[in-house]
Amino acid sequence: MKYMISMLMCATFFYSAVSSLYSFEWPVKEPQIVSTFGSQAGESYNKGIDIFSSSEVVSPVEAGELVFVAREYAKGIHDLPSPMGNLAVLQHERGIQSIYGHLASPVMEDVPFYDITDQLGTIGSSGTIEAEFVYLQIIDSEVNRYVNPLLSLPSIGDTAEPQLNEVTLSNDTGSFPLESTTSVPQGSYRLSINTFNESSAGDTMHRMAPYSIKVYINGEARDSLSFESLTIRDWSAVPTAPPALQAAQLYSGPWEFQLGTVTLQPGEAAIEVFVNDFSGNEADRTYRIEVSSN
Amino acid sequence: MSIGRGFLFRTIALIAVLMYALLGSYSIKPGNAYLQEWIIDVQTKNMDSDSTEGIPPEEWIPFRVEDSFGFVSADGKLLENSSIEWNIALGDSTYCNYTQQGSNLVIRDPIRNYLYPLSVEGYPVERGGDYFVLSKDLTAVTAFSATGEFLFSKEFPSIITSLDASEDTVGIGLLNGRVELFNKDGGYQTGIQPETSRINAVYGTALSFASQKAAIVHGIDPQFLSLYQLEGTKSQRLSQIEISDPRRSQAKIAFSENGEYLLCETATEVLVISTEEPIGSFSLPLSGTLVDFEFFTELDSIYILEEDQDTAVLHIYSAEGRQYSKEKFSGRPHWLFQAEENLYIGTGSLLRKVAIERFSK
Repeated sequence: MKYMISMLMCATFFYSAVSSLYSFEWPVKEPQIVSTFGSQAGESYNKGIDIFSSSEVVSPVEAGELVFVAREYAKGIHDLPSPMGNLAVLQHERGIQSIYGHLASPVMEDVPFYDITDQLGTIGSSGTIEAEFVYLQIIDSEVNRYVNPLLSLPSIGDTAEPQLNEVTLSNDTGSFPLESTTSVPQGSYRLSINTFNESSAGDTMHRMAPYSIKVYINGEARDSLSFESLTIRDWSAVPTAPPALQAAQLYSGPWEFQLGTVTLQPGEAAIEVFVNDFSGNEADRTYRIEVSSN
Repeated sequence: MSIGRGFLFRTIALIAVLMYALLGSYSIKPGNAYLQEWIIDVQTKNMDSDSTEGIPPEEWIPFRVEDSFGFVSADGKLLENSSIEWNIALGDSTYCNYTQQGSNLVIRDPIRNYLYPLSVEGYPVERGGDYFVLSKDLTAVTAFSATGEFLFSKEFPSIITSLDASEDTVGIGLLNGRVELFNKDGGYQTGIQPETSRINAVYGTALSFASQKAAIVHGIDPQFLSLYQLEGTKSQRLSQIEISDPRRSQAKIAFSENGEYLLCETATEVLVISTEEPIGSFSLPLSGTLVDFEFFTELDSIYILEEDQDTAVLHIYSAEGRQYSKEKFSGRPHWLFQAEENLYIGTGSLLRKVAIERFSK
């Protein structure tokens, strides 16, 4: 019952988050996602998505006003280079901004308004990338948040489940991979989950963060993670929904998510893990372990 | 006939008197003379590596041309020359770059032969003697001293549109319309949010070394240049000028060394603002794309380098806006650097030194 209520609340929250934005169109035809919102990017999170496409034209996700353009290379000492390469920022209604990075050439400032069918630029590799793709970032400037662009883009039709590789309990006494563990001593454990989403784009396999991870212990919702939006707290990006962890705290290794601590009492314990991608594909595991008294 | 000859004589005499009155009493106003001292082709010139010893750091002059960067001495010796991979930040005698694509960022001190690897990725810029690495998505900045010491790292809820640093303050302009000010160690000073336009965004930020002032280009409909006095954790707006030809990209903006003047790029001209009371301004037209500008306090001169149809054009103006000189160079312009009474100009693969000399008569 608690599980059902929790799922219903999640669905309600998800719906309200989706409905708070406009419905956008993909900026390129036949989009393939190369990196998702929330994936680890250097010391922080990817605050947008990287999109590969075999088509060249980049269009706005919605009609908007050009409010900022930048070019890759600085001209002179007083200029600022753009590691996002040639980029353009469009302002939409209700404080929503869409940002398009790594375009092939600089966007001209003298065209201030773009319709959804207009060409904003072409896919390129300007900036700190070597392959060609477009970077899309959505900012809700009214609440100063980075919003997952997939919340307002049409479904991409992905049917592959996320990879859920390993769930591990660890503390000072040792590390217990749940695939091969049948019993653990009672106590508090750090919970880590190795999982990722995978897609092939441009003949290359790309790993990326899933949309959400939920954990239930004996049917009770415990730790969860959802990449709906990122907020800046103390000058660092954290997921808006708890746990508000910085990327260096959440990621202990490649695709290794640290989801807080669990306390296990003596007896049988059921640990259920659900990993979802944005298309609704789900991978789940249930681990039944014996918790012994010390 | 004789009357006619007399009339002609008197007329010529009158003209001569008038000419003397108008021109003979005219004294040549003070100005600046442009003298090219040397020019080198960085692509073909060999390094003068034997000459580097004994040249103090303050005499290393940074340069950038189309594909390479480095340092020269005042007499034209090529002390350091490297190719540009992705991007480069040049300090007075150090630089920050990628040694090759895919490698890590490093700060190099070619004089002492030190190398400081940095643990971040992005594009570096040098401001106020420190290095600032802009994250790949332009939403974060990590600061390092010229000796590679980590100073701070900050993420922002909007992309970074401009950045400047003075002796003790770092100012970061954001697309959300705010300028955040930090100490050099990362401590937060204050934020400025000049909300006055239909769209509030910051397009340019400059901090004065000498006068604790900040200048901000912000907004669309209308766009303004606002001047602030910084007082610890407070800021007070001193003046605001509406920009008639706004930009939707970064506006180059810089104070003169003594803080008394401010140069600001608009879409079609460079505004020159006197920041001392009474605050006033005039504009200098641009015929092409502004590459860079400098205000040389000691000569009361303004240097503007622009690109006009793949040609470099250097304008030299007085502090009052009178044009002293206009020089054209072949090749696309990349670099304008002022050291003492000299300018170093990079166009194409060429670097030239120009001496600016003042004459009074």
